[in-house]
Amino acid sequence: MRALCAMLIVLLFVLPACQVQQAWVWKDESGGKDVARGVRVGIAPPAFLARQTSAWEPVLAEVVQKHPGLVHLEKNADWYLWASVDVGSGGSFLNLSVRDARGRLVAVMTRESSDFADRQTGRALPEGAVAMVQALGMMVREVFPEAQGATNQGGEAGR
Amino acid sequence: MKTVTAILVAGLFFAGCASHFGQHPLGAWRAGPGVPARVSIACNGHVPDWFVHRLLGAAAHGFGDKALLVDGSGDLHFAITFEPLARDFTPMFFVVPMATAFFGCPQGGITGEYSVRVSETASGRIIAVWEGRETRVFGLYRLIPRVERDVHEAMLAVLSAKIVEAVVPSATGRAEDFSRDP
Repeated sequence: MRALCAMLIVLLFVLPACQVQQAWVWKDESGGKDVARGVRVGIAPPAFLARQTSAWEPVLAEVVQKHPGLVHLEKNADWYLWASVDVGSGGSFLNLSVRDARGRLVAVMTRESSDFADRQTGRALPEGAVAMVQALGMMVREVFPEAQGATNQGGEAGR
Repeated sequence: MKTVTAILVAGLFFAGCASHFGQHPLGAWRAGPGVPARVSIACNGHVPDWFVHRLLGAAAHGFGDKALLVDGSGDLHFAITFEPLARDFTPMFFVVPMATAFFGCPQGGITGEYSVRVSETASGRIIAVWEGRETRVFGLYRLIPRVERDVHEAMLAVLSAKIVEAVVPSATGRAEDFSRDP
């Protein structure tokens, strides 16, 4: 009985320290399907956020730069992206929003992962940042899928 | 004795948790026929970005094709202001902190307060004013960051449901959680 109680107490402290991964994704079905090369995107904060600055703006710019189908423009873009990060003791979150030039929201995503700031397992913070950059790339590709899938299947786009 | 203690702890726990949502309607709003309404939501004050993103996602999910969620000023605008989360320690905490904490007694409560102004952008008319708060208790086994998250989750559930209800009355209950495994 005592052993069972001790085990339960240990579990009580161990379980909350386990890996947390969760995502909340909403995408407009009519938007974000254009995967052709040269989709013009800009990076600008949306009006719905209280915080209008993000240290992840240059990271998002780099992610956009590396995406073969996207062209980063300062002005007159067709789509506007914004990424921000909440790192706290209660959880670490990566947020991405995409809206069109008229302000209509196309995608709103939030991803929570203990990989982003995994101090409990002794990982260094740069490793968390790497995980976050990778996740951001995945989120951008989720809204703007790369055209390579179509090229491999159909072969028409690549010719 | 054990039963009495368990009932006492449970009683303290549930007595400490509270939810309040007040609506003060000042007018009526109805979407135009045929065209989906453009709805905007803006969050101000002490609120994390993840909360705003999830609120917008839940609202958009609830609207379906009945309304469009836009950034800036839509036909109907929800301006939400969040107060900083307030921590209240019970007097018990100062008297016998460790003893009560050991038995799982709540050591205090965390309260999140918010107010919402619903307005029609074209006329500038205020349709309604809402206010609400959520309180959850913390203690030895309910750590403050976790309880803060609980408070945010509770506010998220209430706000998303009320916003969807206000825009699409027939879609009550559609702002369910849309989480998934990444």
